[in-house]
Amino acid sequence: MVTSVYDGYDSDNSDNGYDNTGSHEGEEATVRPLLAVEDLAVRFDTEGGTVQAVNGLSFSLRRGRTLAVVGESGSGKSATGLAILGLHDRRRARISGRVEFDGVDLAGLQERGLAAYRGSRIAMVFQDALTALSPYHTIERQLTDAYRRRTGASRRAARTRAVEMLARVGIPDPVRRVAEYPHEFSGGMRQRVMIAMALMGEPDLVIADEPTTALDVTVQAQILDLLAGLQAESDLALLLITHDLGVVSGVAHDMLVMYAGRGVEQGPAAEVLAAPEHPYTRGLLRSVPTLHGDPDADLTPIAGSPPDLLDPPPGCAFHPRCDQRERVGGDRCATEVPAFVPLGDPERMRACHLPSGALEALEGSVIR
Amino acid sequence: MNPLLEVSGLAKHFPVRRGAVLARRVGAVKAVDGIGFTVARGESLGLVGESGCGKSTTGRLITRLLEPTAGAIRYDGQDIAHAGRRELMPLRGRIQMVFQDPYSSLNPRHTVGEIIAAPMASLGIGSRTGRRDRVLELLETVGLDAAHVHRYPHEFSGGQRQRIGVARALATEPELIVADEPVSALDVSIQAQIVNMLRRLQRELGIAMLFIAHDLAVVRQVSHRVAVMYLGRIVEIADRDTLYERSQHPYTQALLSAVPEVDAGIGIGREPGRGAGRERIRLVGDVPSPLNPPSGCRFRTRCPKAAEVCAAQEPPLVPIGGADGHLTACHFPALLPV
Ligand SMILES: Nc1ncnc2c1ncn2[C@@H]1O[C@H](COP(=O)(O)OP(=O)(O)OP(=O)(O)O)[C@@H](O)[C@H]1O
Ligand SMILES: Nc1ncnc2c1ncn2[C@@H]1O[C@H](COP(=O)(O)OP(=O)(O)OP(=O)(O)O)[C@@H](O)[C@H]1O
Ligand code: SF4
Ligand code: SF4
Ligand SMILES: [Mg+2]
Ligand SMILES: [Mg+2]
Repeated sequence: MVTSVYDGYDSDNSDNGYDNTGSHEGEEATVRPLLAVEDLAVRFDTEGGTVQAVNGLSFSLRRGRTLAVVGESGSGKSATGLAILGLHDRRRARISGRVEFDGVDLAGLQERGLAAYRGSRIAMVFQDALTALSPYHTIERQLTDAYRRRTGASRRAARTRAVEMLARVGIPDPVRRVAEYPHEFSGGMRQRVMIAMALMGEPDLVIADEPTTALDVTVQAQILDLLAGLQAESDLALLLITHDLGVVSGVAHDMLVMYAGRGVEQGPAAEVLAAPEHPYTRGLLRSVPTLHGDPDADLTPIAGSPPDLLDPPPGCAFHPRCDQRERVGGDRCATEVPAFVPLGDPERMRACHLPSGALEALEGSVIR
Repeated sequence: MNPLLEVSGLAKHFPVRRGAVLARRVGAVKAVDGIGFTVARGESLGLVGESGCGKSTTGRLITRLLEPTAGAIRYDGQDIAHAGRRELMPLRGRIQMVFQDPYSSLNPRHTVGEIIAAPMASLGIGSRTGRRDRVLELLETVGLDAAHVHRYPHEFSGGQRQRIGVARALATEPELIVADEPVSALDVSIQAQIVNMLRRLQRELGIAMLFIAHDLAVVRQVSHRVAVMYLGRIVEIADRDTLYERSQHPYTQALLSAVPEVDAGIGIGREPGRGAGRERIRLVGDVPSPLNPPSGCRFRTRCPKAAEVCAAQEPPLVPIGGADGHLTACHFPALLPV
């Protein structure tokens, strides 16, 4: 039996629902964003001192769009996703700022108020499906429990919906499989189950934290296709947390680059990837090995190591690793935090003391 | 000249038992199931494949952290497949391993100096002061500050810890390093630092390397030749350029086409530098269980080209194409249409 297909992408990809060129319809720009995060800060009090995991972050996301949040380990990506849903332990994390979802400030809501959004209008998909699913309950139980509590649906109706969602995420034979346990599913299928779970409540916003990082590339490609397809079907807003610039390039409309808890660059993904305006973004892009680069040449790493968030560098947190700081006058990089401001186009933001276009002027195209 | 390492018919089957009191053997995970390859002196062989295909098991067999179920591991002419502790002793310093996880592979209670000196001490290499000098030299080789020799692993970042792991592996001047996913846990900016360092050491010290990774772009940067594994078997092996540019096995081709690459705004599904025509191959389904691999060709349940013969007969790994040493295990090998 052969269960495979040879599915060549056609070259203009007109059917994937995306416009990755960075141009937006004029009307869209005036539509109020579904999610607007303003001056978000997340601090953890630890034995060693206070960790500024997220430090004055602002961004917004519209329906039907994918915003990728990228950055190195510890840059505050997950802390941001958890803060939006109010999932931090309030005794350990201090959170400030606004998280406006469809006109309501979630950050101002108490736990009861937030619970009404979680899993229904906003859903989260985590990296590690194995630990996020309980080994002791069937897939049906895990898909339907919260859904029934929320909607009061009958067991039968909930099961029907669960089977529908499993089918939608491409689980073969969902009627039978809904009765199985997580260990009977492979890694890729478990991640599909997680996505099905997120879809149960018909969310407007899905926050996916490294949803494919634990998966093999061939399976990762399936899951990314699935997310893109679901988004096209239901005008879903997707906040995709990832460290993989290749993934960003494939699926994101916009991207936000984080460093040491702050946004350092933001804009349409295609533009940022083609012409990064922040030295860190450029450094990241250059350090990724590709299948078409010169295999005999050394890679171009970023010097040094990521910052210690207990004792972050003063001024621009990237300055100890930045190869451009000499081009900024005086000691500004080490003393003055660069503001995260628009670069002409309001969609394109950056936090760096260099003049706009300075990197581009230096050597033109950076990727190839 | 003989290869430094010659592996043939190598297999490792892990028994699977059921039952709490009287555990019965109910089957075996065929983690590695009859593979062969060679590594010449000073050569770097990349080993790639999806999770669970047997890469780490292969590495642990070669370093003899595991004993094979079948097959031969000839190291410098000597078969070490079933060698005992005493026979292996003299080889311990000549073959070293670098692990994926820089956090758990270093003893947190030992200083960096003690960690790097440990393999020399246990093999009785050098005097105390000789070892100390060597440690300082190694710290410099891997790009760490010699002044940090008395620090503990937790005081270092992930990339720095991986450098410590490499320094420890280099301490005994090995001829072969088995590196199991040495950069997978690192951020890309740091990964590039370690990849460059491994390339330099490999070149300058002439160390042979078995470089295990699932990231095909990383493997391309460090390998002279590359072997692709699927469910315990090697499905294709070739020199680097042949494998990345003229692979003939459908699985290799699918793997390569699934790598997400940064694409400077040309549009989804297209790769810069590859024109508009690079086809994406989407595989359906997941890797089957190694407990019960498919009959015939193990890739047939996901292969876009599978035919009846694929279920009936396992394709042998045989020479193909024009390139020297290019082997493929497929009934219908072919270049991808350009
Ligand atoms: N519960 C916590 N208590 C204390 N510190 C925390 C806690 N959670 C996160 N941190 C710290 O906050 C910072 C940001 O963490 P976060 O998990 O958001 O990083 P990330 O960008 O998601 O990284 P990764 O790519 O590794 O997932 C890190 O320095 C982390 O150590
Ligand atoms: N000690 C063991 N006992 C039983 N099964 C094992 C053992 N070690 C490995 N396996 C199984 O053997 C198979 C191959 O595992 P191995 O760790 O070699 O894969 P791998 O290619 O290194 O995968 P990954 O990319 O996830 O590291 C897997 O199915 C694994 O579950
Ligand atoms: S502000 Fe200065 S240190 Fe920071 S990224 Fe810009 S040039 Fe580099
Ligand atoms: S032997 Fe058949 S199933 Fe296996 S890879 Fe070749 S065509 Fe595909
Ligand atoms: Mg995270
Ligand atoms: Mg492994």
